[in-house]
Amino acid sequence: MSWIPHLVAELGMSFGISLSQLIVDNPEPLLSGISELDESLNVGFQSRSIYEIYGPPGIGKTKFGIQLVNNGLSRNSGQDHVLWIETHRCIPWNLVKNEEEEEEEDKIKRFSKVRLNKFTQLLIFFQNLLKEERDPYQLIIIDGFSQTICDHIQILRNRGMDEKQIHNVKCNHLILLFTWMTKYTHSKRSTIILLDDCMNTSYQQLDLHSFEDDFEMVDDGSNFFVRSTMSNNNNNNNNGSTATSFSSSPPSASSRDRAFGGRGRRRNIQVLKSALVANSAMGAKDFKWEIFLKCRIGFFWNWKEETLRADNFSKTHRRQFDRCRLAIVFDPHDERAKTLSDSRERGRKRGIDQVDMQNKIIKFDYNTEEGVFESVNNASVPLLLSFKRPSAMTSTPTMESTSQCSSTVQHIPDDQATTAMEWEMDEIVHDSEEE
Amino acid sequence: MDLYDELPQSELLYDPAFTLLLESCEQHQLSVVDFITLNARELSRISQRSITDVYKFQQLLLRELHLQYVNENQPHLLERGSEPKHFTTGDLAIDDILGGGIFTKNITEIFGESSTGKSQFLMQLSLSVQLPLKMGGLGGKCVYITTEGDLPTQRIEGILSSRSEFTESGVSQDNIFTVSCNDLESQEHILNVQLPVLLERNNSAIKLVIIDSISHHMRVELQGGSVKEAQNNRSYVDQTAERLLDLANKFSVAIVVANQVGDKPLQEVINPYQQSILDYEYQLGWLVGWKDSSIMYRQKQSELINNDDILSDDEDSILIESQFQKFLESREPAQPNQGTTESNKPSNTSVNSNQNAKSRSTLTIQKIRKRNIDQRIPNLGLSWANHVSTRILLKKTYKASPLIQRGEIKFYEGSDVAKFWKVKRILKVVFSTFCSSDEITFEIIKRGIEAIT
Repeated sequence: MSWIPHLVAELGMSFGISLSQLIVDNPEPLLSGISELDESLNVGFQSRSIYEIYGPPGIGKTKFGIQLVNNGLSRNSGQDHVLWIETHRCIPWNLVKNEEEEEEEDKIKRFSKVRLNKFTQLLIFFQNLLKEERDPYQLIIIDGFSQTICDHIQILRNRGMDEKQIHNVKCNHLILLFTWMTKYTHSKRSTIILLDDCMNTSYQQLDLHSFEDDFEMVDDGSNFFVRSTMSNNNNNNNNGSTATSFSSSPPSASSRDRAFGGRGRRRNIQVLKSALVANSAMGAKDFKWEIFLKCRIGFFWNWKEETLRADNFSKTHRRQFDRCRLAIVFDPHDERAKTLSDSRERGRKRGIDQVDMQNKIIKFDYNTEEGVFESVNNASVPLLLSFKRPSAMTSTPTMESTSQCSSTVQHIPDDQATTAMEWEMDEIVHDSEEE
Repeated sequence: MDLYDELPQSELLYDPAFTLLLESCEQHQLSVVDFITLNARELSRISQRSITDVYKFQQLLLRELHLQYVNENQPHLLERGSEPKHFTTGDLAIDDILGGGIFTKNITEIFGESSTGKSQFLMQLSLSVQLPLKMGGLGGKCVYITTEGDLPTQRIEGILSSRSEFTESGVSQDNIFTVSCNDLESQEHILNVQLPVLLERNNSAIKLVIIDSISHHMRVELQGGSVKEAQNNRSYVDQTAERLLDLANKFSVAIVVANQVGDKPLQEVINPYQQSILDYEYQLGWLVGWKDSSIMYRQKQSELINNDDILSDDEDSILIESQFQKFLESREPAQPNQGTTESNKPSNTSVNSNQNAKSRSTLTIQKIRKRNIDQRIPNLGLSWANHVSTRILLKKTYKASPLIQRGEIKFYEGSDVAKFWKVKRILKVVFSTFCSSDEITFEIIKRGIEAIT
C-alpha cells in the first residue's frame, strides 16, 4: 500500500487523514517522555505531521529536541533514521544520552545532521529529499527554523520589498516550504519538528496598512521595543458574531479591553509569540500557513505551586518559589475556529486570540538526575491564559474581584494550612532565597 | 534581488549577460524563490524581459542551487569529535555548575553591572583556555576584542604570575591577540573582516574569542525611533550573533561576550490588570536571572494588591539596624547622628526610605525592611538572547559584616559605617543548554576569581 502516500503527495496538498491512509500501518508514535504532553497530543507526536515548538531562550527547546531524537532512535526496534537540521547553532549532541556504548554506536549510525541556514537551501533540500531514493528519515528536527524565516524576511526587506507586501510574501513562502515538507512527511510517514524562538510583540492584529503608525518606540534606552499608539476611538462591538469593517477594529473585545485597560486607556502589553508570527512581517493572514502545523507547542516558565494569588500569599507567609515549565498546546485546527463561517473572521480568531482557544497546559520540568524532561504533578491548576474580562477588573480590586480572576478557588491542604499558621507567628520570614 | 544573499558564490551575479535582467528583477520585486516556483513565461511577464533570457537565467540558477545541495547540503552521519567541547574557567567549582566549563561552538554571555567582575572573569578565561588538554584547557590561543579601552595587560599578568599551574604550562600573554574598537563601524569591521581572516590564518589554533562588551557600541549607536528602525536593530543584532555562531561552528571556537545591563524599573500601574503567562513581562524575570521574589513581586505588581509579603526580608539590614540601635542606646546621650546606616550602604536602592537613626532609636521597627527588587536586564533584548547558549549573571550584594554577625558592634569606634557591610559576589547560571541553572558565591582575589565553597 505504499503507493497511497505517494499518491497523496502527487495530488498535492491533502489535510486531514483519509480512510485509506488510516489503513496503512502507522509507525510507533514518537513519545516525548512527558506523559501528559504525549496524552494531549493523542499518544505522542504523530507521523505525517509537522509540529512547532517555541519558547523563550533557556527554556530547553534544544534539549527537548535531543530527547526526541533519543526516543526516536530507540523506537520501532531501533530501525528509524533521524535527521537534525542545524541553522546557526551547532547541535549539542554531547547531550545525547549514552547509556551503553554499543547502543550508542548503533544510534549514531542512524543519526545524521545537515547545516542549512538559508530559506532557499531549506526549500531545495526538501524538494530533493523527496525525490531521492535513500532511507527515509522518520524524524526530522529543525533547530532554529524561525530564524531562517526571519532572516529571509529581512533580506527581502533590505532588497526593497514593499512593506505592504511583506506579510503576504512571508505567508506564501511559508506555505511553499510547508507544502514540500508535508509532501515529505506524508510520503515517508515521518514527523518534522520545528524548534523556534520567541519574540515579544505588542502587535494586536491590526490592519496592515496602518501598521507603522500604530506603534511608537518604548523609551527604555534599548531602542528595541515598540508600543502601540492605537487610539481607542472605534468602540464598535466586534465580538465575533457581528463581523464589522475589517480595517481598524481590534480583533475582539476581550483583547482590546485588556490592551486598553478597559476604559480607553492604552497600555503597552508585550506578549511572547513564536518568531514565525512575531517578526517584521506581521499581519493578519498567519492562519494560512498555520494549518500546515498539526500543533504548536509553546514552552513557558511558571511557578510550580499556585501561590500566585497575593491575598492568599500573605496569609500563608509561605514562599514556594519552585518554578517549572509549561507546555501549552495550541491546535490550529480547533473546532471552534472551524465553525466560524466567515473565513476572514476565522483568520483573525486563529492568528491572534490563540490564547482564547482551547488549549492544553502541561506542567513539566527537567529531571537533572535522569537528564530528561518529565511531567510534574499535574493537578489541574487555574492559570491565566485568556484575557481578562473587563468586569473582573475594576480600578480598585476587591477580594471578590480577585477571586473571580482565578477560575477556581485556591485550596490549601490541611497540613499546609497548619504550617502556614506557624509561619505567621514568626516575624521574619526565612526562606531558601538568599543573597 | 536577493540572489547575493541566498547564493553569494553565484556566478550569475557577475555575468554581464544578466545585468539588465537582475535590475528588472529588483525593480519588479522578484526573488530567488520566485525563480524556483514560477515558470519562465510568468517570470518573463513580471520582469518584462525576454523569455529566452529568463529561461536561460532560471536554468543556470536552478543548476547552481542543485549543485549547492549536492556538494554542500548533504546530510551526513554525526562524526565523533565534532561536538562542542568545554574548557576550564580556572576554577573547578565554577566549571561544575557550568556543566564542565565554557563550550566551543556556542555563545556564552556574561552580564552584570559594572564592577561585578565581568572583565576579571574574561581575562581569566583568556588564560585558562591555553592550558593543555590534560589540565582542562584546549591548548588554544585567544582573541580578545575590547570596546572600552585597551586590555588591562597588567591585571592579566597579575593573574598569570600568581598561578603556578598557568606559568608552568606555558600559558602566556603572547597567545592573546588583542584588538580594541572605538565605534560600531570598527567593531563591525573587526567582527566581519579581521576576525574571520585571523581565525583562518591561525588554522584552528585559536579556541576562544572574547568580546568585552558586545552591547557597548550597539547600544549607543543603533538609533531607534520608528518601528522600521527597531526592526532593523533587531535584525542587526541577529546578524551579528549569527555571524559569530557561524565562525564558532566553522573554526570550533568558543565565543564569550560581556554584556552590560539596562534598567527595567517598576512601572506605575493606573489600571490594574492580571498578567498572563504569555506576557513578556511575566516571563522576563526568568530570562534575565532575577531572584524569585522579585519575579513574583513584579508579576503581581500590575494587580495593585499589597504584595510586600512576597519580598524577602532584608535580614542583614534588619540585623545591622537593631545592632546599631542598641549601640546608640548604649552611648546615650550621643550627639545627633550625622549619617544613617542606610546612607552609607553602597548601591542603596532599598524599598524603605531612610530614617534618621536617632529618631528610629526611640521607635521599634515598624515596617520590615525588604531586599531590593531586581530591575536590571541585559542589553539587546530577546533578539540577542535567542542566540545565547549559556547566560551567566555576575552580581554583587552586601551582607552584614562579621563584626555585626558576631554581635561585636561594641568594638565599633570609627565613623565608617561601611564596616557593617561585607561584599558578597554571586555567579548565577541563568540558563544554559549544557547544565541546569544554579548559583555560587565567589571572590575576586589576586589569582583571579575563585568560588567560595
